[in-house]
Amino acid sequence: MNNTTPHTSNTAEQNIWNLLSTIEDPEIPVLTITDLGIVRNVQITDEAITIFITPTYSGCPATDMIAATIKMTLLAAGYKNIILSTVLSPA
Amino acid sequence: MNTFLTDYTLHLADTSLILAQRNAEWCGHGPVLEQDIAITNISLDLLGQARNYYQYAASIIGGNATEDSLAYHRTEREFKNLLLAEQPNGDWAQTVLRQFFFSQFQYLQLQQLQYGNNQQLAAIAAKALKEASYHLRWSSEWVIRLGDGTAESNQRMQNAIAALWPFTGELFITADYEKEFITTETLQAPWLQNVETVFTEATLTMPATTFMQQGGKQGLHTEALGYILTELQYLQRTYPGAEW
Repeated sequence: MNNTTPHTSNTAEQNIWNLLSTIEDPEIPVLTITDLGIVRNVQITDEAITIFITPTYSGCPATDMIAATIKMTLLAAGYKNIILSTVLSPA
Repeated sequence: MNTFLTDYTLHLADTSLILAQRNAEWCGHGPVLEQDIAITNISLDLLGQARNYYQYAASIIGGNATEDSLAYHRTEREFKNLLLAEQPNGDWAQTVLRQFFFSQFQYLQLQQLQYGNNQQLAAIAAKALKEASYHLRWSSEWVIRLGDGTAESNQRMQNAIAALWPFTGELFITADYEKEFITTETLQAPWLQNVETVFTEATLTMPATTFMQQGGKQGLHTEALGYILTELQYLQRTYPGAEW
């Protein structure tokens, strides 16, 4: 399995990507949410950190749980003002 | 607020939700385990699509509207789903034929919507199209298997056609609120052609032109919808705002 975590020159973003790449998919725990391409983007501004995620399919019941786990993981690592945003496109 | 956009989004949401609810009635009752899982997963796909549409509708409506309030607190006359979606499951033949008629339509509909001007509807459509193409393949295979099966399975499929055909005319009558998004009349010729191709392989007879029911898009439903909503909305009507 290739590590799909993008390497960015931005250290702050890279740290968040590294944390996200430790979160397992609830249904297939041998894969992480970054392996599956569920995390689309990470955006850091002065006000908040926004994590853009996409469901694997429209009805994926794990999406809400994944969003909650991302939030808990980042809070536990000391981050604040975390926003989860769902993107559908590109499908 | 753009009421055409709201109404059209609710029409898409309601159709997916009601068909999801119908298919979910099979949970634990499928003819074999593999197909029990298939029909309930199709239900889950449709429910996911409905959530995407309801969430979008709630964002347009604003105020206290949520995906839950739109699904659980609206009455029959406010639901804009296709009449086809609310028709009873009947036997397995009727259930798979209902899915086949709908998926055949939805596939054509989403192909157009994914290139539409409304970005959010286009995004939901592009995602749902992948699911619809699977639903279409699965339901087509079942129509062929039953139609070209035994005398009994063929007769059951032919009975299902007689029961559901009058609810297919409505798919191709564009409601006022749909006009700026899609012209459903243009989908009728390819829909008929695709249905006929599958029916021919299934040794099934295309029905003669008949009286077509309509009204679902305007909130005028068959008696079936009231019973569906009674079950679907029971918990939130009895314990408003309940969470788990």
